Formats: sequence, C-alpha cells, structure tokens
Amino acid sequence: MIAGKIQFITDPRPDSSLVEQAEVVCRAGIDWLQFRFKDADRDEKLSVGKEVAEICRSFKATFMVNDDIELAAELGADGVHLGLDDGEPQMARDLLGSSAIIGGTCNTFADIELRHKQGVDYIGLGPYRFTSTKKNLSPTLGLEGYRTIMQECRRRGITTPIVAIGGIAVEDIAPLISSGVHGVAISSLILDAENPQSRIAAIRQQVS
Amino acid sequence: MKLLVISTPGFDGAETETINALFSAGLEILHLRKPGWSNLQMAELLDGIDPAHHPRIMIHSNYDLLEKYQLRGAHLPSRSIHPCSTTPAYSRSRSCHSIEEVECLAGIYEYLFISPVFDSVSKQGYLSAVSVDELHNCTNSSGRRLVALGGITAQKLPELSSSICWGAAALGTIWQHEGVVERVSAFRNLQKIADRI
Repeated sequence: MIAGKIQFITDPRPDSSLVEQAEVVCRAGIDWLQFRFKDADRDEKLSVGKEVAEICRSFKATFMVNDDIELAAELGADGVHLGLDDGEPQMARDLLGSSAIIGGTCNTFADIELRHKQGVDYIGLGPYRFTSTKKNLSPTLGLEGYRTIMQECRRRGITTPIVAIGGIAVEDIAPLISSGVHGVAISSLILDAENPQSRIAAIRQQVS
Repeated sequence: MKLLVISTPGFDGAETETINALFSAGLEILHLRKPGWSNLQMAELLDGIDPAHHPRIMIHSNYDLLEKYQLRGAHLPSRSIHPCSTTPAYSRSRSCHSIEEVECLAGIYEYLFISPVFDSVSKQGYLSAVSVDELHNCTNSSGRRLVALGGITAQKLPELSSSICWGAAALGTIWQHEGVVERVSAFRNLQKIADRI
C-alpha cells in the first residue's frame, strides 16, 4: 500500500454535495478520498457513500471510510480511517481483511508510537493549525511541531507514512513535506477555493 | 437447531427488559442490529442488559464495544470484503442474500445468515429469495453453518431441517408483540420447535 500524497476528505457543504466533491477532486487527479459524513443518518450515509465509492472506483482512486468499520464493509471500501477513540486497528483488520488499508489519527508522538505498534498503514497527524471543519480539536502542532515529531520518528525508526492534516494552506505544503511528512490530508483547502481545479493543480505541484 | 433472535432496528421501550427475559428463558445468541446507532446509544442498551448475558451478544455495528463488553462477536454486512483468516478472540458472522454468495465464502465465519428464506414477518414486501431446496443443495456441497432468516414463524420453521441449517433467526415473530410476556412466550414456542429439528 502506498498512502496517497494528497488525501481529500469529504465535508458536507450547503453548496456542494459529497458526490459533487468526489467528482471534482477525482477528475482533477486526486487518487485518495476519505468519505467523512458526520451527522447524517445511516440510510443517507449508505446511499451517498455508494455513489461516492462508485466515482472513486471509476477513477481508480482509493476509497476510505472515516471511523465506521461496518460502513466500510458495507460500501466495500479500500479501508477505514480510525480516530483516536474509534477502536483498535487490529479489530478493523480482522473484520475488513488483510488487504484493507487501516489509517489512524494522531495528535502527539505518543499517539504515533501507539498506532505504529498497532500496525496502521498510515497516520494522519494534526492538526496543523485551527480548522473549522472539525469539532473537538486537539492543540495545534504548527510547522515546529511537525519538525520535532518527524525527527523523533526518524530517531525511533518509525517509517509509517504520516500525512499532515488540519487547516493546511497551499504555501504550508512544501515546508511540511521537507519536515518529512509523506503527504497532506485536505478538505477546506479545496472546498473553499473559487476554482477547485486550479487549486488542486497548485497543491499537486507542491507535493511532487 | 439453534434459535437466534435479532433485535428490532429502532428504539423499543421494553427492549432491555425483553432481552434479559429472553436470555433467562434460554436464548443462546442475540444479534443486536441497530443501524446508525452511536457507541453511546449502543453502550446504554448494553448497560441495561445483565453482564452475565453479554457473551451471548453479536453486534452488527459499534465494533469498538466488543472488547469492552466482552461480547460474543461481530456480524458483518453482505458485500463486505473477506475478513482476515485470523482467529480473533471473538466470533464473526455475516449476511448473505444468495446461494452464490454462500458458495464463494471461505470458512472464516462461524456462521452465515442467509435471507430471506421465507416471506418476512417484520418487513412488508420482503419476499423469499432463497428456496429451502436451494439451501439443501448448497449445504450438501459446502457443509457450512447457515442460519436461515426471514419469515421464521412457528408455521414455517418446521420446513427447515438441521441438515440444511445450523440455525434460524427470528425477528418479527418475537418483536411484533407489545408485551414482554407475549414476546417470551413466542420465543419459547419457537424454541420448542427448533429443539425438535
């Protein structure tokens, strides 16, 4: 498994449905999407999730489901991304299969050590800075935080790919990549753009 | 033949009372299927159930609670990709809706739900999709543990045999009754029939 360098996370907006979001990002060449649909009921998650999964499949993009192992199974997702309170990666692995991609959120180096030990395939480390996308946010790390943590990872020989997440702007990406992170997970950066297509092009330039 | 019970998908005022009473009446395996419930809602329900019965409960979601409550196992939806052939400390079961699905599944699940075998009691218009004859042929060739589901009533249950099915799972036949006493007596009635099969 090679973790996506640009991971798009869906976010319900009044002006764009999750299906539209998936269309736009996949068409612009993003090959990794995490289906996040908080506050929706089960039926809605299932029906929208099926459509989004279908789009990802047709563009050969990796389709990940946020938090919910059952939903990931039901949608035939490539894997599941677990928050810190969302249970054990081993359990997700037992239930979804050895080929399933299991990701985990981390806020600190201690979290990374734990998730690394638990055998996740990649880690979402954040938040970089304050973001309005997520409630209950942990303290922000800033570029210094990433530098320190990535250094610690190298020292301890932790090679699990780490993607930065949380309020990342285009100009943050290059310095983050040079701190040693594998890629970035983004949502608002694309959804808030006047022209998502050109924003994605700009982001792609930064990570390559 | 084993008789399993599946919970109603929604809220039910007498649910925990019914579940505790069913376990006391000898229920071996209960499936908690609560689509869309949060961990908190599921935990509240489990807290209302006598902890002695937790090891008899399979959950269809909220898998994080498996270890915390020492539950029996996890049920996976149909269409799910194959889980690992590891043997976790808990049991795994899965839904299937066709014989083809049953045939292509490796023996990594403890048992498979196959449905609907008869016309459903709880879901209007949910008609039988797999015939008893089909099940018979399938079991002969694969020897898997199948649990028939859909329309398991006192009238229909005797049509199944233990050579076809390892068990049958009831939902509407139990929960269509309002009172706990009526529910338990519906369960006992089915259990008596299942015991003879």
